[in-house]
Amino acid sequence: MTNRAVPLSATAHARRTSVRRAALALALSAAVAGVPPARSGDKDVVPEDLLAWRAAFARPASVPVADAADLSPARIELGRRLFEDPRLSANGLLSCASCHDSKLSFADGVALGKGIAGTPLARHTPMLWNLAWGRTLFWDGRAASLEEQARGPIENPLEMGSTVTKAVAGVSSDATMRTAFAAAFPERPQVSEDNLLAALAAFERTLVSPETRFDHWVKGDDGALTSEELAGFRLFTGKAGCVSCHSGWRFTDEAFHDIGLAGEDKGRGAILGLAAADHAFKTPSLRELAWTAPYMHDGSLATLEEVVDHYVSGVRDRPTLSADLPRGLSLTAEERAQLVAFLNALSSDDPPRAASLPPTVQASAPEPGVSATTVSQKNKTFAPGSIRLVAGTGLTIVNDDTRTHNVRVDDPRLAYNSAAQEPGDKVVLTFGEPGFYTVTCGIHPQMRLTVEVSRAE
Amino acid sequence: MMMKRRKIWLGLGAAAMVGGGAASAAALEAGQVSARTPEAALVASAGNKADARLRFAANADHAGHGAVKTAAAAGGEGEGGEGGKKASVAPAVQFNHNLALIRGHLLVGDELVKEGKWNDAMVHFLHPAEEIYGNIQGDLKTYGVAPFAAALKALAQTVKAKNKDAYEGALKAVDQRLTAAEAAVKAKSDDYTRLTVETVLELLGTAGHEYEAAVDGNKIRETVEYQDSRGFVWYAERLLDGISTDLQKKDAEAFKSLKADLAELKQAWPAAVPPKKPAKDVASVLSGISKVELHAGRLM
Repeated sequence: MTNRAVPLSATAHARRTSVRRAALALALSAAVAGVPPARSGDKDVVPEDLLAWRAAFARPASVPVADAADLSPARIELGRRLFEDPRLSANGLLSCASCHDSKLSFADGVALGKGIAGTPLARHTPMLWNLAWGRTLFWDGRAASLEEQARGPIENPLEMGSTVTKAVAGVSSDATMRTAFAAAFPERPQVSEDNLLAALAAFERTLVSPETRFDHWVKGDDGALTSEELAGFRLFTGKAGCVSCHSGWRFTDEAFHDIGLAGEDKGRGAILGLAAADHAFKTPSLRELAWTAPYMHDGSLATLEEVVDHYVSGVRDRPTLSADLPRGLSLTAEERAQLVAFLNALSSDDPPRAASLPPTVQASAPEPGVSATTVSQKNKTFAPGSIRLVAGTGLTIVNDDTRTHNVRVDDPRLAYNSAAQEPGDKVVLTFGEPGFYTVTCGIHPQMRLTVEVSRAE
Repeated sequence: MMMKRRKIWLGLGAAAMVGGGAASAAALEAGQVSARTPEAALVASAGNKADARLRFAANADHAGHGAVKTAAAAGGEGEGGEGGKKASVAPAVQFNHNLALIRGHLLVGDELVKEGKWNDAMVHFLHPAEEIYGNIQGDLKTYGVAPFAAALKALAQTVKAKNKDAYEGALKAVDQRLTAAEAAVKAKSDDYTRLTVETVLELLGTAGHEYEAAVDGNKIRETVEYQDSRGFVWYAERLLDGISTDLQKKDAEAFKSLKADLAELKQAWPAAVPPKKPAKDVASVLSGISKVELHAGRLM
């Protein structure tokens, strides 16, 4: 079985000009949403153009879990108790809620929190809203599920300083917890590591941010946003280019971007072992920002005004800057105020309380694939997104996008990492064994390509 | 905040100028000034000095901290809450007064936080957002200052969470916003010293109302109002300290007297947590405020 990366375009970097990338990113971003993009810098955007964005930001009707039991009331309640249980830490004093304080919108309100070691942590504590829809967790995306994520802080020596094994031992001596575990996991009624992590994940999945005035506007209430906020929305989807990364109802593309903040933290690059992804961190959601200052992975920006100012004049130029980052952005004071006004409209007017989960639970099932041996990457999407091919046949993946990708297959039958795949580059994969595979992009994990490999005749 | 109908002294900006003691006496005789007001005490002690520059309010309907709406907005009692607008006060002074009210709340709230009294502090972080901010939204726009309602609410949340680190960061964020607003006021003012002195007098007037509402005989019935008034007086002093150089140039003697008056006045509030019995009765406090006003008049 051979799997070769074939970089066919060595001059891809030279072809990329920042202006072209930013403009194209905007257009593509709009195209992906199926709506026309707002015109750059155009003060006379017709209302229909703006209204067309409603579909792109509509809240989902379902929550992506494979099994409804994952969200049983007993499991959620157990997760809530565990979330606030200091027995999960080595010193018995810290719980998940110590940093993800419900009174602070499940954040901690400081640039860098302190864990059990009493020293500032390396990164800002992220808020926990809407993680049920998250593709990866942590600023660098190193966890692929909430269950996997839940283990991280417990076992981080600077955070809770314990192990999940010790945490299980700690809570299993509590009869009420044993009962709660039994109720939450009737099929496997025990206090176990898997159950503890699953319960924590279940609780975190219920942290759905409540509807805001923006959501009311999306649902058709034309008067829900002020003229200043609407002007900010025009900038957001137009001139300022925010929507290139802050897309969808959660206002995140789930991808990793270097936005030019100071610091030596390699972020996603360290996880992927990919220099092209150095300094890249996951696009944070913009929901409930008003309640979750400060901002960025390092907590270095205290206010939304500072955030907007950063994109105008604070970006540090370096080779790894995201292709989606607007270059040479110029905003007047009025425009900055409008953007901030819009961003504030994505937050609840009062301290947010978790909303109900969407009523339906969607099952995860592979889409039927089309027969193909070439797949294009464009606008942070594989096209087609699901294919069929015969084992041993080469699959060519072409980067027709304006940004760097990183083709990956993490499967026991095939481990593949393309390294940096620049625009114009092609890679060829060969699947030797039949079955379903998932091809992803390490930088844009929302990109998913399902490959159904059939046995050769 | 206390919402009650009473005869009060509204302070320099909101009242009618009375030229001298005779007129003051006339006003008293006409029942236009409450017998409990400082004017009565001051008129009695100051005699008929024509330069007393006292101003009196007559039978004011009042709601909350200095809350008298503009003619267009006034709707009677209960309107406005803290930081309303007085028709007779210059818009810049009204705006600055409202900013100072927020500062005063945060000041006394911060004192309580530092003493670990998070629950007691909470109300002082809620009031700015709930009772004052609404009255300055238009001013913020006029002065080109970024809105900060969310920052105020977020600050209150950190107090509710009793999270010291988060509190300090959120307080700093609000402080920056207030500083920006104050700088905008200063930048657009032709006579910032006078504007500040007028703001101080408005603030002290509000403090007087709060103290009056807090104290009932020899008991402090309303802790929050006591604390409000402390915060306002303390912040009034800070405002004066900020322009002390200018005031000393104008009239060093008057400024020295004014500072002495303030020091004497502050004795009514020995701590953020009120004493069991008032350190000063209402008449003494209101009289003390009038003394400050008397000397402040020479500095304007």
